[in-house]
This record gives sequence, structure tokens and C-alpha cells, in this order.
Amino acid sequence: MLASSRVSPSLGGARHWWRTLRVAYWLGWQIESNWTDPFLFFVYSIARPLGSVLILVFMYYVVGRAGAAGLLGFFVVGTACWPFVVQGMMGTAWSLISDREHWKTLRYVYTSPIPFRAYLIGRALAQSTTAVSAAAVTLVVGRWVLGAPLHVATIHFPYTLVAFALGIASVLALGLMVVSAAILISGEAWRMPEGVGAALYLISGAVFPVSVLPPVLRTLAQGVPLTWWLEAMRRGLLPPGAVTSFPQMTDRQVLGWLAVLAAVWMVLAWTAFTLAERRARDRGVLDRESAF
Amino acid sequence: MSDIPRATGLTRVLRASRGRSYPRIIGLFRERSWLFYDTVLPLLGTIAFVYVYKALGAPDRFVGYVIMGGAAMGFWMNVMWSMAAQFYWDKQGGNLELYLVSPCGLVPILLGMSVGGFANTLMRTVAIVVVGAVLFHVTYVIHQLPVFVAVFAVGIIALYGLGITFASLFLLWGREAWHMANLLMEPVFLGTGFYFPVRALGFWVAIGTSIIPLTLALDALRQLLFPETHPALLPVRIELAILGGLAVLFAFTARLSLRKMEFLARREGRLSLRF
Amino acid sequence: MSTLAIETRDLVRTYRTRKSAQNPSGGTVVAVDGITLQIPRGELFGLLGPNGAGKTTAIKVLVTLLLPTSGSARVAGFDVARETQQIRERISMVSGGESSGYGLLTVREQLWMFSQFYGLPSRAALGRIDELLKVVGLFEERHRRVSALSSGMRQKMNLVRGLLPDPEILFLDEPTLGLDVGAARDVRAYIREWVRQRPGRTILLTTHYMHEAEELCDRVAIIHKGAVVVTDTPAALRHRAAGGSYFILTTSLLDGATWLGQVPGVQRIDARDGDGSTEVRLELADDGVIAGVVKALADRDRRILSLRKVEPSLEDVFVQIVGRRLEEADEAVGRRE
Repeated sequence: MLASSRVSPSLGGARHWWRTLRVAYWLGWQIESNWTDPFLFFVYSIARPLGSVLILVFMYYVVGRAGAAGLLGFFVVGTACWPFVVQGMMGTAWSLISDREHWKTLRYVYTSPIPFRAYLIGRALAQSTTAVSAAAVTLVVGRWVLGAPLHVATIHFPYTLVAFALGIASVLALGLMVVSAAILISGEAWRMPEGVGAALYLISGAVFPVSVLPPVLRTLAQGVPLTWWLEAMRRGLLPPGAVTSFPQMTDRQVLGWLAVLAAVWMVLAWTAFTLAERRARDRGVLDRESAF
Repeated sequence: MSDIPRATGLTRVLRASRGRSYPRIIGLFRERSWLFYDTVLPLLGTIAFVYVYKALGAPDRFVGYVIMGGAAMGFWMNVMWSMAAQFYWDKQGGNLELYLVSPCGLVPILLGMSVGGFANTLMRTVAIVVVGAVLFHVTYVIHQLPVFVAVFAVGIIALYGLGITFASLFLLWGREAWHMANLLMEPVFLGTGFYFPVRALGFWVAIGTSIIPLTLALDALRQLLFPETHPALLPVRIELAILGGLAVLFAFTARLSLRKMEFLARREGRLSLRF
Repeated sequence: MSTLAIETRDLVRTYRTRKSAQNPSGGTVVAVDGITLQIPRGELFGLLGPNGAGKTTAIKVLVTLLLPTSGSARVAGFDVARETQQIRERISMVSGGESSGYGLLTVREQLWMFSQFYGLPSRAALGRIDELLKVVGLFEERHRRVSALSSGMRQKMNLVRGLLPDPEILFLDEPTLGLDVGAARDVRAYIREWVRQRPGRTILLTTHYMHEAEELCDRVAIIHKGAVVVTDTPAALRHRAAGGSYFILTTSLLDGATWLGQVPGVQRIDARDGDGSTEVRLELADDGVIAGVVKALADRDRRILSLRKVEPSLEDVFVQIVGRRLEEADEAVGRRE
């Protein structure tokens, strides 16, 4: 049993945080790891992500315009990274909602002497882990079946790893932000994360460069860390000269913007959650079920 | 017997269908949030694919393709989540047992679900087409309106027949129903050519995916909307005839699978776990 | 027309269980194990037993949701395996704790929807719905959404749904499960009233509440581990139990009470010493024997602290037949599950 002995808060916040994070990760893994079932692995790690990337590939082929060739790698990397957003951000909100509505454990978790944010982040990390296989399958098929330009020789590993870590931090921040909203609503809570996900899919350059968006949406896109994360991942994984959203910027500038925005969004998410938590307690809706 | 005279036969079928369609239709007016969740959200996804074509430098007609695909997606989602998976939800909620023991049988209840779901989705689809047309200045000129209407109607009948067949199958598959519905998302969007002419998949692959009525329905409707430029899979009239065949086939499989489902459920006790 | 509303012969229903880590080979659970019943029209018949005794499975077979594994069952004279349509035209079912329906509909709309499945004309159905809602005290809530109902209100609504088609045979599966005392009393009162007003209608009620079976049922079958162990009227069953009534006597401490058994007419004696007193359970040949017991105690200078006569209940019948109390049997099932 991972949490058999309780750590006193006096032993230090960091240790308490770490232990809660670990238990929450373990719990999330127990709930989510059914994707290792062969059928579920096929559905979520092969069929759906490959379906997504192949739609883009066929769109690309039916147009068959010269100069669009570089977009193949763009599609593959975007589609490979997107499951982290779905699982890490939307999944975190769904974890909270299912704890509240399905497992009915939210009230007990919340009232236990643990740092609740650590619990949420642990669950989010477990969710994000389940996206690894879908991402890997998409990259492998993208490289060896579709012929996307993903070559070991041109992959910038340190850059990609830093970008990935900052990206996951951004996804967690967005997840905490969505949880802040989900904690205040009940009836539509299930669908709200999907809505946020759809909006981010449109503006963060998941499947097309944000340069084709109208100016207003382009400005909005630049304020979202996911845009910079996907841009940085493409720069790390694809060879120089590949299609990107911000061709005028250097790799270092992209990573810098990603770091700054990830930090800003983490602060924003922290604040939003503090306010939402207070409001939810004030309104008595923290453990309210939707009865739908 | 009851002191209130009960209708039987066709009158009861119609009454039962009307009864079951009611929650779906009234839901439109009672849960206004659908305007956002079922119109704005699918539109966001659809617009993303419009921008993919823009990034690829595609001609404007491809924008129309995407809007049509987004509209058709509403019907597919409705058939999957509100028809195929509905018996599974109904089983969880305790409705299915009550449906089974009611004298009208399951067919009128499924018809009601279909009619309610269709009416509900049609409004959403119209909203997506209108908003898409306004935002991206897509103009639709329908050639041969009666054929267009016939393709749409026969395609919808075949599609909901498939949904009823799936409803029984999903129930038999039990807990996997949710995952089955998920499996039939992106791969079906790909196979039916929601966002591109299905001919691009190759003739025989496209013929194979035509088992899903939306494939031929979308191809025929696109031919009628973009007659000069759309790379047709088959001539419209042949596609209409095949859709008619699919409608009959799925009506038959729906009936067969319902009987099979009810028999297996009664024999193996799959409708309930409590004893 | 058959004079029997429900008839079963050696009815057996088994389930195959799924393979699992705890149960690698799967297995077969016998839920109903050779039940034979004959329930005439017009009777309110109770199936009484602990959780997991097979009551609900028996009902599910009778309402055509399950096929019998072997044996036969007829409802309103029709075979449950082959003549499902004829049966469904004549029955209705209400289960306790059910959460059926659509949360966005109002109570009245929900009930109207179900009335349509029975082919009732809308106007007549709505009139009847209002009438029934008044009877169960839910009329004021008729425009409230189903999702906003309390469990008690929901169960009353379900009862109205079951009564709406005015079935020949009504199956009530634990109709007061999870209800508070007031709501359960209302539901029982209406069930009694419905049967009284409609002679010829039959109710098969399953319950694991003894008092409910005693209060409502013309006859009761006690069901245990899938089999009927006894069937009779509640009064006859009580009479069978431990030879009828008994006395509970509390005296100052006796330090051994076997001598009380020597009093003529005392058939059985159980004594339990407590803190400064002794509680004695006495079964007597007739009530007059108690005078001899009181005299014997007085002769030995023992003070009588209390004395009461106890009529046996179905609980006593159950204990005698099954060997333990109903709650204990429920707990045993819970542990098994």
C-alpha cells in the first residue's frame, strides 16, 4: 500500500507533495491502465490517432499542390502530440468529474489532509502517460509508412526533451484551468473540456500553421503555450526547413516563448484554481452531482 | 383488462414512436446548451479542417466539402452515441427492462429514437451549414433537387437502420460499447471521406467503405453540388440505388439483430446483473 | 381464461458467471432452484427472502426478461418462454430503487411517454396520470423535472408508471427499497387500496421486509437459496412458528432457571442472565399456565420486573425455517458477494 503511513505536514511540504503526487499517479494509472488491453490499445493507440493522421494525409493528396509536401511532417508531429493534450488536459478534468459523479470519492479525497493540487497533477500525469503509446505509434507509422521526414540524424534530442517537458507543464496548467471551471459547474461539466479542446485544436496550430488563421485568431494563438509547444516539437523532430507556424523566429526564441508562457499559465492556473475552489466551497457545489 | 381502451397495431406503433421521440425533441428547447456544445463545438473542429485546406492552398470548393463533412458528422455522431450506444445507456439507467416488457416491443421505441434524433440533428446540421456558409462564403447550388432530396432521405433511412443494428450489437458487446463507438469515430471519418472525395481512397477501398451509407450519400450529394469538379465514385443514380439496397439490408439486419439480442439477453441474463 | 394468474413448475434459472482472476474457470450460479407456485387471480402474493435469495430472478422470468433454464412458468395462462407478447399485454412491473426515465422530462411527461408504449390515448392517459399522482401525493410535483425528484418521489412516480396501464398482474420487486418510513407507508397504503378497488387484479410482491409482507400479502412464500421453503398465509405461518405465542418474563436474578421447566404446562424455556436480572422466554401449553409460573417465582421470593406476551412474527417463522434471522442471511449474502 503506497500511502499506508501518513506524513505529517510538519515533515515538510515537498515530501508531502511528492507522496500525494505519487499516490495520485498510482491511482490514475490503476484507473486508466486498461488501455493495455489489446482491443483498447488498438482503439486508442492505433485506430483513432492513425485515423486522424490519415484524414490529413488524404486531404493533402487530393489537393496535390506543389509546395505542400512539407506539411506531411507537420501533420504527423501535430497528430502525435495531440493525445497529450486530450489526455493531460481534458483527461484531468474528466478525472475530477468522474471522481465526483461516478466514483463519488471527490468529497473524501478533498477532505483528506493532502495537497489537493498535488492529487490533481498526479492524476493528470497518469492520464498523460497513457498518451505515450498513441504518440509513438503515430510517429513510427508517420516515419516508416507515410514517409514523414523524421530522421534520427536530424532530430535535436536535447531541444525536443526540454520542449516536451515544458509542453507537459503547459498541458498540466491548462488542465488545472479547466478543472477550475469544472469544479464550479455540474450539468455540462462532462462536455466542457471537450469544448476547450476543440477550441485549442483550432487555434494552437495542431494540424495547420497558425499563419493561415485570421489576425485575431493568430494573436490569440500566440498567447497559448500549446502553439509554442507544437512549434518547438516540430523544430526538434523535423529537419531544418520544414513547414512551421513562425518561420521568422529562431528555435531558441520559440523555446523561450514556450518557457515564459508555460510559467505564466501555471501561475494563472494556480490562481484560477484557488479562486474556483473558494467559490465552490462558498456555493456548496464542490461535490454536487449533476443527476443526469 | 384495463378500463382505458388501448390501441394496438399501427396506432400503438405510432403512439409509442411519438412517445419515445418526445424527450429528444423537447430536449432541444429545454437544454439550450446544445447550441454551444452541438453546433459551435463541431463547427470549431470543422473549421480546423477548413484551415488545413487553406494551408494546402486548395481551391474554394474544398471548403464546401469540409462543411458538408462537418454536417454529415452530426448524423454519424447521433447514430453512434444516441442510437447505437443508447440501449447500453438505457440498460444502465433501468429503462431497457421497461421497454422490453412493454407490449409495443422495441421497434417503435427505436423508431421514435431515430425520428427524435434525426429532427434534433437536422437542426444542428442546418446551423452548421448556415454558419459555415456565412463564415467562409460557401455557396451551394443544388442540381436536380428531387434527386438530392431522395439521396438524403434514403441515405438517412439506411444510416438509422445501421444505427438500430448497432444498438443491438453494442448491447450484446456490453461494457465494450463505449469503446466500440470510439473506434467508429476517426476511422469512419476517414473511410467515408468526410473531408475529402472518397475516390481518393482508391475505387475498391471506397466501394468497401460504402457499407456505411454516409460514404455514398456524401459522394452523391457532392456530385449534385459540385457537378463539374467532384471526382465521383459512381454515377448518382447507381449510388442512390445502392443506398436503397442498404436501407433494405439494414432494415432486415436491424430486425434480425433485435430478435437475436432479445433472445440472447433473455437466455443469458445480460439485461441485468441483479439476482 | 386460466384461474391462475401465475403458475410455475420446477422453475430453475442459472447464470453463467464470467471468468475472473478470483474465479478462473467461471462457473454457474443457481439463482432459482426448482420453484413451484400457484397464485390464483385476485391474490396479493409475497415472495419473502434475503438479498440474493432469487426473488428478483424469479420476477424477471415471469415478466419475460429472462428465459427459464428448465421447468415452466405461465403468467395469465401464457407460457413465459413462447407467449411473451400475450403476457406483456397484461402485466406491468415496478422495481425498487430504479432510476429509469429521462431527467430532462417532467414527471407528467415521463409518465405520458410510458403510457404511449401501452397505446393509451393521450387525453385519457393524462387524466389517469393526474388522478394517480393525486393519490400518491405527487400531483404538486407533476411539472417538476425527474432529475430533481427525491428517491421517495421517484419511487412513487415509478409506482404510478406501473399502475398506469391498469395491468391484470402487477409485479412489484422490492417496491419500498431505500424509501424513508413515510414514503414506504404511502406506497404500501396505495398498493393495498389498488387491490381493494380492483378485485381480480393480482400482485406478486417481492420484499425482504417482514412487516411489509405481513401487512400486505394474502399469502407468502419464503424463498431461500433459490428455493421456496414454505408457502402459506401470514397468520398460518405465524401459527406454525414455535407453536404459537410465547411469554418474555424478566425477574430478579435466578441463577439457573431449569426448575421453572418443572412447572406443569411449560413446554420450553430459554433463560439469559443479565446485569442483576434474568430474561426468560417461555413457551406454554396454553396461556393459563403462566399463573403457575408466577406462583413458582413468588414461592422462591423472585421479583417479577416485567411480563409480556409475544405473538410470533414472520421473523420467527424465518428463523425457525432458515436457521437464522433475515438480516443475518442478508449479511451472509453480502459477505459471499
